[in-house]
Amino acid sequence: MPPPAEPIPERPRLLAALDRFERPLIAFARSICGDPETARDAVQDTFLSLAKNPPDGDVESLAPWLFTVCRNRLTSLQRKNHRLVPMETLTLAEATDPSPGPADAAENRETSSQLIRLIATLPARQQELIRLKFHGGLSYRDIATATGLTVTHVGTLLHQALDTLRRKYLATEALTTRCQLSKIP
Amino acid sequence: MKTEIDFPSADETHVRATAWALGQLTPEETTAFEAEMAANPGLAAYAEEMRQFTHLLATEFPTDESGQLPEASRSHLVSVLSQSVSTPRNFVKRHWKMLSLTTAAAAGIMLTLRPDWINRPETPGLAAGRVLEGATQSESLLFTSVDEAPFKSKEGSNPSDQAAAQDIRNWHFQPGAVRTYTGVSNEEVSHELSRLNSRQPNDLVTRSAAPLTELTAAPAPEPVKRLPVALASSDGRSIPGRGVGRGNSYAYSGSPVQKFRFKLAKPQMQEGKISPTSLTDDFVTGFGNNSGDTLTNTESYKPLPKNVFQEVTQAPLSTFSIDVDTASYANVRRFLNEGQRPPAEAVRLEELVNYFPYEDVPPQDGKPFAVRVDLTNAPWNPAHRLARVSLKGKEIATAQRPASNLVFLVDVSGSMAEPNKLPLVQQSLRLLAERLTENDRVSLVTYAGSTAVVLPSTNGQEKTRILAAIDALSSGGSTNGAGGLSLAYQQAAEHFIKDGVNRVILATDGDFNVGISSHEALLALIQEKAKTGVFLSVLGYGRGNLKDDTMELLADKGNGNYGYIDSLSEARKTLVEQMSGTLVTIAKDVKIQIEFNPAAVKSYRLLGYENRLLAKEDFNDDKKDAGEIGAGHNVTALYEIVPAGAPDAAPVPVVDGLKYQQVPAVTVPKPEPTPAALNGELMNVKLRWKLPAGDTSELLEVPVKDSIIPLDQTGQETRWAAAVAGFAQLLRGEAPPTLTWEMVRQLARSAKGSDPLGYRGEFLQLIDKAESLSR
Repeated sequence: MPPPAEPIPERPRLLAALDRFERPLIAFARSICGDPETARDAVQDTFLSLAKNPPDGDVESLAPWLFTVCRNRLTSLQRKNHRLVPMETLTLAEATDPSPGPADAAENRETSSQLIRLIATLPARQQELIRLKFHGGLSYRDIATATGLTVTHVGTLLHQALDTLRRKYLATEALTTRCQLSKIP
Repeated sequence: MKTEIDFPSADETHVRATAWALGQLTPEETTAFEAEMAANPGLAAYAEEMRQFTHLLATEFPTDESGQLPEASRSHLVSVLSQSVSTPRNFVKRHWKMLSLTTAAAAGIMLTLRPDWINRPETPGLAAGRVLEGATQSESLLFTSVDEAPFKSKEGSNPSDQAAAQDIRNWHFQPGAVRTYTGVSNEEVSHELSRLNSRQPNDLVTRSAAPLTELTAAPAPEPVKRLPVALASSDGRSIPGRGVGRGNSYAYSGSPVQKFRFKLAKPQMQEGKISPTSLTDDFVTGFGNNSGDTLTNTESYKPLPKNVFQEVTQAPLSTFSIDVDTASYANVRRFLNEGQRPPAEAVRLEELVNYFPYEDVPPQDGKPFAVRVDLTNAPWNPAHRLARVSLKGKEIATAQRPASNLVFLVDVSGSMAEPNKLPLVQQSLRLLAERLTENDRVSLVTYAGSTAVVLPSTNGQEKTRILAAIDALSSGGSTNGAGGLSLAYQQAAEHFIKDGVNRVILATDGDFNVGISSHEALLALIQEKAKTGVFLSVLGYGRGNLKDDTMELLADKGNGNYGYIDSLSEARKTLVEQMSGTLVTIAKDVKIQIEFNPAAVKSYRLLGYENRLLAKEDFNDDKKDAGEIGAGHNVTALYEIVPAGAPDAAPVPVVDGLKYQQVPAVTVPKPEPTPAALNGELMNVKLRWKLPAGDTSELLEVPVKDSIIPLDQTGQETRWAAAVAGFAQLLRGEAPPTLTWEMVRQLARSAKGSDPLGYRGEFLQLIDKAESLSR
């Protein structure tokens, strides 16, 4: 008995969404709230909402929805927990510069950990956008939907974030190289 | 070192360069920007650098190492996501095994009655037609099973739904029957059937078998279309024949389900009709899976058959082992608090009832426990009696506890690294450690990939050392439950306290996944140690991975108890408030046998204790293991009793008379009532138990007069037990139709009492949650 064509399965889609976005969402949530527990709770809730009311579309197109829900969930969790919601102030951010010292740089030569460290120095909002972009794979428009910003604002903020990050990265790279060189007898 | 301060260059051109690097420009913008770059080498260089950097970031910016959800939450999510189907919420989780089979049977019957569907497989009867096609190889199997089904030949709906439904359930739980289906060689049949099943509400199974009979016997022109119609009539609610067509649940790898994967054409939706294929495309389920390996929720529960009414003339004796476990309640609470309805198998009625402390009078006569029996009307059927048999263990004040030699065996495998696992274990242990005295000894053994004694047996007074060892626990590695267990037993044996409490307390999330994981070997070890006087208690932690049945079995075999700890307050209840009870066994191998008097009782039903039933011969057999009762413990058993002469539901003929054979009428000599049958007694309660160190049992008999106290005048404790029993039946989806959540709520409210520990208040909240999840 030849089986007819296979229907589009729903379950693989949602499970794929879990596989695809679990880590990005947690990283994203942590960058916002700084607390791994709250972040996990928010992500858990996000996927529970997904199970209840899955929106249409393929796995990738779930991203804006997931990040938006996760973000809203975080906000309410944070309110509940009476934690401080990070301020959205570029000015504050620009004054901070915890660039790693030479010793730190030497210890953390690995590019990834260096990048993580550097991203952590960015203002919360910029970290959020970077994660949405690079972990969530969201477009500017999706990011705008998820964060409630305008597309233009997203572009500007992301540019600022990346520009800063790039400079800092190049600077630490240079430092690291110098340190390494100085160690050579 | 001079720090370099970075000011972002935020001019519009550079913003566009970034957007270009990230591929966020529209095609027109891209063209324009690339033209700009061609004219401006500086900009081009910047944009290229940015592109390289974003590429670096995309490849080198990993999601954090710790960025995954804890395993348990994750598997919970996977199961929830897997079940995101258009069926009523949580329905799938409940009874899916039963459903598969029930409706498999129904489908089988349809086959027998509608052979002409073969000829039109593409009509709305498509699903059934397909079943038929597929059935050719397995017809005999299906039909054999159907023949066993008690409802097969009834025309129209049968008035005795309840009994029929029960029979169906009994039938389904026969492992043989399950195998019949898994063994069907034509995978597609079983699969198709299982898919069909998933559309039907549990009410079909649990409330009424009538729709089934109606359905199967109806010579409808479009039988499949009738399916939802019949369903709708089963309880007055209409069931959507087809949901949103999303959320199909599919088998995940590694499960036996996978081989049933089945392909199906897109459903045909017809205006105002339920397309049969639409009934089938929603759900795939597995068969015969008791070990939790279906899907990815790895919690495992053994299916519990329902105790049905027994005719006194046929089964005058009811024998079971007592059960003081309360883990099921905490587990049910966890499910409800997470907004999920627990699987029926996780709801053990007697454990729910026994969770609550009852203010019964402890024994005054030096016996280890006092027995009392209360009779009242069954709330869900006032014509029936509800008998509450309660045992109250003698109380031992914490201060008078005998010396204890405790070995805590703590699972520190990777899966325990969750706030509600190891940290909660540590908190629980701290609570207990504070109560230890100089008479007590405690040691701490951990197990994961390897086992270690992290605290050698230490006097209870050396609190600093004990607490330091508790604080130092940390998790990692895989699990070898048995290796740890033998080490713990060794510790217990080395510091054995004669006439004291010698106990290994295992704290785990239930994962025994490395090494000696054979149940038999493990159980043999535990049983052997229990004989030497070292008992085992099991504390279950966490979720998602809970091997409920394994842990209960371990504790049972080890003469201990099993508690599920989901919160610090639960830890306090299990370990501290009931410490004397949890740790001090006052009687072991406690069995109850009740003989009903046919002069007063027509039939009876034991509520709960499904997995504690004993053969009547086991009662006097001292070699048969049974439950233990601890100091101050309450054990309650409830019977629903149909008094003799009560208007009974019409009796169900188990099979119809044969058409072609006449069986000679056998005259069974009617048992003569003894003089005692006429003395107005309803039943005779017999108890057997052994003292903790004893080998021979003692017997206690309590005759019960048939004197009923109406429900509203009966004691608070009886009403409370009745409320909890009602709750459990509703939650298991096997409540009598007259039993409602509102009834349970009223009853519970009326019996809340002073509730000093707040357990009953919490239960009232659970009623609301359970009700909202049951709609």
